[in-house]
Amino acid sequence: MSVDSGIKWRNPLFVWGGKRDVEELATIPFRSHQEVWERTRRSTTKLNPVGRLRYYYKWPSHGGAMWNRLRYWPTRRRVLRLRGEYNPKTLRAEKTIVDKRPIWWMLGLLALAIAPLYTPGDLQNTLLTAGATFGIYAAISLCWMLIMGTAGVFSLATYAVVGTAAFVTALLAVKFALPWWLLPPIGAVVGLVFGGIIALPATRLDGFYYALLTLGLNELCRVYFVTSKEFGSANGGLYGATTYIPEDWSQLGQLLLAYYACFGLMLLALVLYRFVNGRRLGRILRMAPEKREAFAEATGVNFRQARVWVFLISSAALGFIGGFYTSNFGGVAFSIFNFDTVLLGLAMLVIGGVGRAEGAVVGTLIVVFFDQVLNTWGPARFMIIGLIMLLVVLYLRNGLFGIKAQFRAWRDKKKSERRSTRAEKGGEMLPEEATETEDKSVIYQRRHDKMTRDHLKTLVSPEIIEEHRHSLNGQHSEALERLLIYFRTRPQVEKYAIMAVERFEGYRIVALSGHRGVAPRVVEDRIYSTPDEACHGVFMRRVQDLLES
Amino acid sequence: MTPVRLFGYTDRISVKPGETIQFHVSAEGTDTAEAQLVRLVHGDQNPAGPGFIEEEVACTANGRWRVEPQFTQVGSFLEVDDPEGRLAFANSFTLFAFIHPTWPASGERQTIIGRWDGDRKQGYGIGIDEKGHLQFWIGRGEEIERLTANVPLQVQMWYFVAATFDAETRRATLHQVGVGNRYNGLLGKVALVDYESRKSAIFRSKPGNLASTPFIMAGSRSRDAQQRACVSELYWGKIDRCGTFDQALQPAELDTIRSGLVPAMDSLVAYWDTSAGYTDRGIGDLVVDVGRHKLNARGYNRPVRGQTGWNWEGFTDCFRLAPQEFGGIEFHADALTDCNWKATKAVALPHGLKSGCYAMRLRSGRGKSPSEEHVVFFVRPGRPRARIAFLFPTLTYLAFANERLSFDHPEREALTGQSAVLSDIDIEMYMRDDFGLSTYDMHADGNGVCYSSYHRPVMNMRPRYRMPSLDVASGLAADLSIIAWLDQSGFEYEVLTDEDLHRDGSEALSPYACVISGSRPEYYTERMLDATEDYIAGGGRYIYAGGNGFNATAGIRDGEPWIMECRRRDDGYKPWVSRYGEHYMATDGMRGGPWKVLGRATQKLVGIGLSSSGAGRSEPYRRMPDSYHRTVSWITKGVDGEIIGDAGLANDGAAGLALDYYDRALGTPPHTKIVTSSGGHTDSYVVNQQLVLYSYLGLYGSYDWRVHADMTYFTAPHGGAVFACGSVAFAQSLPINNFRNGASRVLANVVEAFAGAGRLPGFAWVNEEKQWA
Amino acid sequence: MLPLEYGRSEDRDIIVRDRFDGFRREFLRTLVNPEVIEEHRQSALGQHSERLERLLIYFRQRPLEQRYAVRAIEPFRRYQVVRLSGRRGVPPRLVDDAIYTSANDARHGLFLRCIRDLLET
Repeated sequence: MSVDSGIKWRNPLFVWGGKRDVEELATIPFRSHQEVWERTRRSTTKLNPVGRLRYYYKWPSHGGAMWNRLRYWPTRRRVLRLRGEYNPKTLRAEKTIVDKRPIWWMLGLLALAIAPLYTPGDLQNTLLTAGATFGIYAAISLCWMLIMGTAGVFSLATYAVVGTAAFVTALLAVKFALPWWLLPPIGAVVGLVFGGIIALPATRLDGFYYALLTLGLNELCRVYFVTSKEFGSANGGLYGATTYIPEDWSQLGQLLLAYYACFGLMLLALVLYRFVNGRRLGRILRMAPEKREAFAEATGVNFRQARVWVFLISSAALGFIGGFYTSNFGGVAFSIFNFDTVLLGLAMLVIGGVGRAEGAVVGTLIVVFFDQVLNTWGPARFMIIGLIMLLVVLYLRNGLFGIKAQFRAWRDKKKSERRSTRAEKGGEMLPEEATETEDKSVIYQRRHDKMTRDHLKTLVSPEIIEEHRHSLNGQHSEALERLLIYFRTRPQVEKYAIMAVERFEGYRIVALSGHRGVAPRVVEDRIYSTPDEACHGVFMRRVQDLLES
Repeated sequence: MTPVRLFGYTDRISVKPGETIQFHVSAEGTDTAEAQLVRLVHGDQNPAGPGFIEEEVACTANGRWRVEPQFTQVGSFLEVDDPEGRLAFANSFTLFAFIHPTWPASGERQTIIGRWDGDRKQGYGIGIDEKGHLQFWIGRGEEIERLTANVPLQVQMWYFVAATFDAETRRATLHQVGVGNRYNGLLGKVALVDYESRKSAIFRSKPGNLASTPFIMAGSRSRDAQQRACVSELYWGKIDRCGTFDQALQPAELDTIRSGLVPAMDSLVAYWDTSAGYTDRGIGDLVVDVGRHKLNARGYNRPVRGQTGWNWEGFTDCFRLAPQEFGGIEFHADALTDCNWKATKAVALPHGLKSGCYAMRLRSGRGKSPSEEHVVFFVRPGRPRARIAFLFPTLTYLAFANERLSFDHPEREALTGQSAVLSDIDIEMYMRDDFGLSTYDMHADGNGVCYSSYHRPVMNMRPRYRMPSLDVASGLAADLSIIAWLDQSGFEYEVLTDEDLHRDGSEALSPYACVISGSRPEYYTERMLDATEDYIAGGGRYIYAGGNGFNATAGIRDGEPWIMECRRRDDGYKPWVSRYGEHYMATDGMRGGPWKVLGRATQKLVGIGLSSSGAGRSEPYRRMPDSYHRTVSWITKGVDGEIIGDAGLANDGAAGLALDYYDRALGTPPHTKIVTSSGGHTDSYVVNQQLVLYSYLGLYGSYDWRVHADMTYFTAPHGGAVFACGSVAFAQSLPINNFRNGASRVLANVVEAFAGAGRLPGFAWVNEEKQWA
Repeated sequence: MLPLEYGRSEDRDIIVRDRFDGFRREFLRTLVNPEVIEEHRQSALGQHSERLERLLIYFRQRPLEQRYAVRAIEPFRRYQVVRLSGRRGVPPRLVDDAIYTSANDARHGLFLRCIRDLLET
C-alpha cells in the first residue's frame, strides 16, 4: 500500500484549537470487520464427531446415605479404591473404581480354587499335577519377583536356593527320618543361610556382574549336588523323604491334596509379597529406583539395608518352598539346578512383567501351561515359550501387564501428531480439543480472536504506523484505534509493558507474566531514552506479533 | 365527522374454553362494530415471511355489537370513605399534610387534600396554583376565596403544609415550612433557599358543603364534558401523613405536628397514618385513618406506596425496615392502572376451543379507513393434554405496554442506532393520555412509571405491531412466529401465560414434557422464577426460545394479576431509575432491579444470559466445535453447512436485538455445551452494562468478544434438559423460506426430542473420550 | 428526574452543550462528502466507517424536538419522513411530500435531511 492513498482521516479535536492536534492525516480505506465473518462460512479442516458410548453400568453416588468403607484387616487398605467424581457430560455424581486389580485377583483365585471340580476326566491327572507344579513355581516366582522387582537385585540364584534347601532337607529327612512338617522350617533356615552368603556381594556388585555371579553359583550347586554321592549322584536325585500325602488315599485324593497344598503355598507367597512389597520395605525401595540410588541415599533413604532385608526374607521363603518341595514330592531331582529351569523361571517373570505380583503369577501360569499341559508337543513348546518371551521383550515395555499404560502413551502420541497436522496455528478449536476444554467460552474466544486478527492484519500499513509514532496519546484514526483497542484488551500473560530502568532516561520493554509472584520478563536489550519511544517500540512489537500469528 | 376508532380490553387475558370473558370496548364515531373471534397464527407482516395470518373461529358472540364511547379516569388519587360527612366542616377546621411536590409548576391547578368540587365551587382544599404556589381555598358556590403562599414550592423538596380556618373570626392561615434533610430532597443545605411561608387573611364566608363531594387526596371532584363526575386538579408528587381537625389550631400546635407528633386532641377528626398497615410482603391500596372515625382512604389508579417519607433519614433503604420513615405516597396525574370501562359484552367461549392466542376482531367504518381492533386474550387448555406448552411472556408484554420511547426518550435512538419508524397507532397513542404509559416511560413529572396494567387497550399487544424504535415486530407479534412454526410443524401444543405461571407456580408447567418460552421473557416475579427452576429441576425440559430473559424483577399483587410493578435500579439497562430508598416493590416487598444482582443470574437457570443488545443488523449463528459431540450432535442433524439462521424477519438474521451468552462466572451449569454461536456484530451492539465494571473504548460488537449469542444445551436432574436459543431474533428466523431453514430444523430436532417420552438423544455418549485425534 | 418539561432556560447545562455541539458541528461539516453519503445509501444499518458513524452519532444525540423519524404509512410499501415534536400529545410534523417505498430509502432520505440541517447551521 502506498503511503498516500489520497484518503484522509480528519481529527475531530482540531476544531477545539489544541496545539498538538493536526487537522488531517493520511489513512487507509475503511474495511468492515464483518468481511472476515461473512467470508468464513465453514471450517477449513474436517470436523469429526466425538463422544464415547457408555456401554456399562456405573454406580451413582449416594450423597444422603452413609457409606461404610471396609478395610482389609489388619491393614488400612480399603477393599476397593473408589473415586467419587462428577461426570463432566452430565454432572451426575459417579463412583469410579480406580484400581480394579482386587476384583481380578478375587476372580482369578476363585477360578483356581474351583478349577479341580471342572477338569475333564481324561486330563485330570495331567492338569492336577500341572496345577500343583504351578502353585510351587508361582510361589517361587513371587519370591523371585521380590528380589528382582522390589529389591532390584538381578539374582539368578533363586533356584539354587530352592534346590539347596530341598536337597538338604531331603538328606536330613532320609537320614534322621524327620516328620514332613519339619522340612519347610528347616528349608527356611537353609535358605536364610544361603541367602545371607549371597547377599554380601549383592550390595557391592552391579546388576550384570551380580547376575553372572549368581548364575555361576547356580552352576556350582548343580555340579556339587550332581557329583556328591550322599545326594544321590547315582539315581538322578534324592528321594525317600517323608511326605504329607497319605499313601492310603486314592490317586485322585492324593492329587487333589497336593493341588490345594500347593495353591495354599502360593497364597502364602502372595501374602508375603504383599507384606514386603506393599509396606515399609517396598516403599523405601520404590523411593530408590535403579540409577537413582545415589539421590535416594543422599536424601536419607537407607535402601541398601532394605535391599538386604528383602533379599534375606525372600531367601528364607525360597528355602521354605524348597523344604515344602521335598515334602511334596518326597525328594528332589537335580534338574532343579538345570539352566533351562532358570531360563523358564526368568521367562515367567518377563512375560508377566517385572515388578508386579500378577505378572509373576500369570507368567508362571503361561509357562507351566506350555511346559506341563502341552507336554505332548515335545520340544516345540519351548520354542513357543521362547517366541513369546522374544515378542514380549521386543514389543512390550513392561510385560503383559504393562500393555495398558503403553497403549495409552502411544494413543496420546498419535493424538498430538494428528492434532498438530489438522489444526491451524492460533485458529479455531477442533471438536476433540473443545471436548477437553472445560470453560466453553474459551472456544468462542479463540474463534473471535482469530476473526479479529484476520481483520486487523489488513489494517496494518505505513500510514497507521506513522500515525502512531506521531501521536501516541492523541485522538486516533479508526484503523489505529482498532489495533490499539485489540492490543490493550489482550490477556495479562505475555502482555508488553514498559519498565523504567532509570526514570526520564532509560526505558525498556518487558512482558508481564500474568502470574502473581512471577516478575516480568525482559524481551529485548534495547534501552529507549523516553517513555514515548518505548511506547512506540511496544506498538511495533505488537504489530509484528500480530502479523506473525 | 369523527374518524371511527375502536379500542378494547378484556377483564382477564388467560381463560379456559367454555369460560366467560368480558370485553370492554370504547368506540368513537360509531355505535356498532362487527365482532369476529379469531385465532392468531402469525403476527408479522414482513413480506419475507408468511405475513399476518388469523383464523376465524365460530362463536356465539360473533356479529354486530353495540358499542359506545367510554370515559377513562386518568391519574392516581385517594378517596376517603366518609358516609357520615364528618369531613364536611361547617365551622372551624385545620388541614395539614407533609408533601413533596414533583411538578409544582405544571401550569395546572393541583389539589393536595380537600373536600372540593371545582365544578360547583363548593368546599375547601389545599393545593398548588398554576404558578406553583401553595394555596388554601374555600368556596360557597359563587366565588372562591383563596390564600396563596409567598414563594413557589421547590420541586422535589419536603414541606409541612397546613391551613386553618376559624369560623368565628373567619381568619384563615396558610403555613408552609420546609422539612428537607440531607437525604430526602433534591437540594442540600448548601442551596440558599428559604422554604418557609406563613400567611393569613380574613375570608368573607365559610365553605359550603355538598353531600356528594368526596374528600380526596391528590385531586378534587369535577365533571367532564358530559357532566359525568370525575376527579381532576390532580396532584404531582408525594403526600406523607396528613389529617384534619375541626378547630383552628394555633401555630405552636402546628409546630408540634411538624415535629412528627400528632396531639391526641378531641378536635382531631382524621389522621391518615400513611405508613400504617405495611407488611413485609407488600402494601395494599387502603390508607388507614388511625383517628377515631376510621375514615380510611382507598387508592385509585394505584398511588405508589412505600416511598420515602418526610422523616426518612437515609439510613435504611427499604420500607420493611423502618415503615414509619416510608410513609410517602406518590401520585401522578397521568397514572392509569384501570380504564374501568363498562363491560360491552360478556362472551361465553366455545367449549371445544383449541388452546392458543385469540382475539376478538372488531371492525367498523366503511370506505378507505375502516377501523379494526384485535382485543387479544389467551386460551389455556381446560385440562392439559398436549406434551408441549408455549408460555406467552405476558408480563413482559405488560412491562412494554403502550411504550412511547421513540417519542419521549432522548437516548432511545442512540441506543438502537437507528431512526424510529412510526406507525399511525404510535402517533395516536402519543397524542392521547387515556391509554396510560408503560414501565419504560416516565410520568410527565420525570418519575418512572412503576405500574402497568392490561385493564386498558394495549396497542403493542396486537398482531402486526412493530416496535418503532427497532422497526421489527416485537412482543406478541414476534412470539406468534413460534406459534405459526408449531402449527406448521404439526406439533401438538397448548399455551399458557405468565399469569398462570405466577398463580399456579410449577404446577402450571408440570403437566408438560416440554415448555417453550417466548422470544423475550424478560420480566419475572419471584414465584415465576422459582416455578421455572423447580420445573426444570424436577425433570422438565425447557426451551428458552429467545434472549434477554429472566432478567428483571417484577411484582404482582395476589388477586390483581392485571397490574404489574416494576422498580428499576442497579446495573441493568434502564430507561429510568428508582430513587434511593424506593427500590422495593410495594406489591410483594421484593427488591426491584435485575435478578442478577439478587444472585439469580439468568445463566443459573438456563445456561445463558444477556451479553449485549443492539439493533440494525442481525447475524447468523455458526456451529461450534462442541456441536460435533454426540451428546448434542443430534441438535444440528439435518442442517446443511455450518451457518444457521442467516435470514430472519428481525433484521435478517437469527442472532440479533438482544444476545445471551454462556458465562461460567455467572452460574452456567458446568456441563453446558455451546452448540452454535454468532459473531461479527456491528458496533450498534454494546456489551451489557451488567457485565461492565469500567466503561472504556471498545465495548462494542466489532471489538469485544462478549458481544455474541450462544446457543446452549444442558441436561438437568431427573431427565430434564434446557435448550437455549440465545437471541431474541431467533424466533423470527423460523418462518423464513416457508419454515424450511436451519433455525427451524434445529428447533424441530429439539422439540421432537424434548416432547418424546424416552430418554434424551445422546444420553449414552457420556464416557470419558479416548481420543485418537 | 426533573419533570419532562421544566424551565430549561435556567439550565446552565444547555450553554455547555451548545458550545460542545458548536465545535462538533464545525468539525462534522468537514466530514460530509459524496463517499459518506453513498456509504449510507448502501448500508444504512450496517457497520459504518468512522466518518459516517461520527455523523450518525451526532444525529442520534440531537434533542428530541430536532429529531426526525420515519413514518410508515403502509408498512413495507410507503414511508415518509417526519420531525418529532418532543412534547407529549403533539404529533410529529411532516417535513416534505416525498414518499419512499422502503424503510431503508426513507432512512436515507432522513439522513440527507440531517446532513442538510447540519450544513445549514
